[in-house]
Amino acid sequence: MLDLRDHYDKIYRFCFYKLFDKDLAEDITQETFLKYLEHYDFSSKTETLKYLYTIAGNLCIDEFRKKKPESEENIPELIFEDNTVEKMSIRNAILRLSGDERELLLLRYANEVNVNVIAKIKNISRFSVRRKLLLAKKHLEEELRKEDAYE
Amino acid sequence: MNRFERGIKESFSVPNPIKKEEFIKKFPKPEMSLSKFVISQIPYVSKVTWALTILMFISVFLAPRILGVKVTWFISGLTPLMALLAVSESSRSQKYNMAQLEASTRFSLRSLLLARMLLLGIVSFVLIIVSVPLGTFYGSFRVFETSLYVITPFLLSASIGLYIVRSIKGNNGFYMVSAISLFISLIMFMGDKYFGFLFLSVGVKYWLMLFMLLLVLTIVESKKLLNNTEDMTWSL
Amino acid sequence: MELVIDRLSKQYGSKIAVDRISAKLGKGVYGLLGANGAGKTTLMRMICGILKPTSGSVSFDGIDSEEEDFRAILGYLPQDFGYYPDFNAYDFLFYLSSLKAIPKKEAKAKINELLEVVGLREVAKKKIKTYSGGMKQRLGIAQALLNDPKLLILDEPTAGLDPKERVRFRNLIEKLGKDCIVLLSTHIVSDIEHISDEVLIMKDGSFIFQGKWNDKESSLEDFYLSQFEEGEDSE
Repeated sequence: MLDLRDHYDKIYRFCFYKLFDKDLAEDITQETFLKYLEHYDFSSKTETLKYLYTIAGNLCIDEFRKKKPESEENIPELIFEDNTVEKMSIRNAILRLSGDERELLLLRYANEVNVNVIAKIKNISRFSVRRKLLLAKKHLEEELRKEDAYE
Repeated sequence: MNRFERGIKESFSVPNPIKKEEFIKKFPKPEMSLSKFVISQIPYVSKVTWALTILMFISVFLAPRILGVKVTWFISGLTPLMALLAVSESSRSQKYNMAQLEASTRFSLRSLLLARMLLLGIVSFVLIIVSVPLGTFYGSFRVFETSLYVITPFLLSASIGLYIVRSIKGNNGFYMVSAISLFISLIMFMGDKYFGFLFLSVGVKYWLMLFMLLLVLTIVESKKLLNNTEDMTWSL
Repeated sequence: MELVIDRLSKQYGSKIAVDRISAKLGKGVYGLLGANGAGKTTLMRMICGILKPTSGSVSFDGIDSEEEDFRAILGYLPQDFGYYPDFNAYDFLFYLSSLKAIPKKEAKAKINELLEVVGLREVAKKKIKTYSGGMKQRLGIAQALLNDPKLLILDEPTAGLDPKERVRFRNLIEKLGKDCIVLLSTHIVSDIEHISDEVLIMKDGSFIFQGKWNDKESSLEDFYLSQFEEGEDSE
């Protein structure tokens, strides 16, 4: 059963970490759900999730084409309301990862999406998903070490 | 999730969405409509009920051949039994102590009751629609009178049945409803032989008044049953 | 995630079954203790929206208990429940899935998963009338979980379970309590001692204790019994 409220938050988070604009992210989230309405008769949760994330992803790409976002290094910390030191360093490290790796980490750990579902969304094997996740974590660790090095 | 992974999760925090509640309130729920729900309940109507219903239809078609002109009394004795089936089937939850579980579901007991009543109501309606022309054609009354003689006993049995099922819990209630319906049936079956005076043309206006009264009563009792599902959830 | 109970009361004529109960429950497992007749079942039914309160209200994250959205996140196991004749476990669970508006394909996957969790996979095709009390209870627990509820109300869930089933049940509840609000009632103190985060003791329709149980001071059982002795003394 699709929990609307829960998935609103998750899709919103997904879009936010692509566009870094909360109003835009929310608009795209709503648009994703409206499109979902048109085709909602999915029998399985997996299919529904795949649809939601794919549509949201495509809509975000369309936004990119409309205007180039600020390069990620310049994202003002002001848009994040909770800025403990620890969170900031992981977040900075995450922001330095590639968009794909960041997306993967968000899907798996922040949105708690099943590996099977991620595989369906990205159209790759479960094995590839796990491998890429490991790589992403490794890169994150490297970036974190770089953070420490500056301090 | 280990500590590192939890850290990753936490750092993906986002500023709170502001238009969320408004959107969700307006968002139509993509779920089963009432008609789909009613259809989904068809396989859950008891097989016995379906079997008896089919039997009734068959007997309605055979009756003219066997009974000739007396077919009207047979049909009008049959419809109270259909009402009995409809009322029993609708309140099945109570009999099998399923009402509590059903009441806590999304559709809830009320929708379930409504679905059952609709299903059986439609079947009853079809039975009546089929038997009135048959009765008129083979019987000795005109359409108007035949309709009254067929539908009124049905409404009598239905309204009393709905009232009893709501007021008397458990098997006792079912026995009473059965007894009363059978009694009404019997009177109609014997209508020709012993109660001929009930079916004189001077009495038609009384039948009409009775029909309208019972129609209202049946609707009122149906509504009461639907709105008092709480009573059904008391286990015995 | 928060369940808010606001001055909930139920009165039958002159008898007050539940007397202005208020509470705010977040994620975790809550044990509702009380003698028979203390009002536990009545309270639970009102929380589920099955019974209309005389006054007061219940809401989950702002959704009132009378609304369909509330029932959508609710899982309920009543103290006693029946089944339609000739149903087997599959029939029973599919039937309730249809009432919970769960599409068939999704229901199938969920049902198989739950049957595994409660250990009824092997007997799932057998008729419920052949089940033991413990098996039927486990089936009841399974149906409560069909819609991935956020609020789980269990009325005497351990009744009829043998010790092994009890342990399995406790582990399950502990896991569930991490992500949802679980309220379970019992008159068996040891059940609650082991799994609840908080304890609610009910007597004559009100809470006489509400909070975390501190094991160090005394056993819950002693405290529980003492409450009832006190009550008797004052009469």
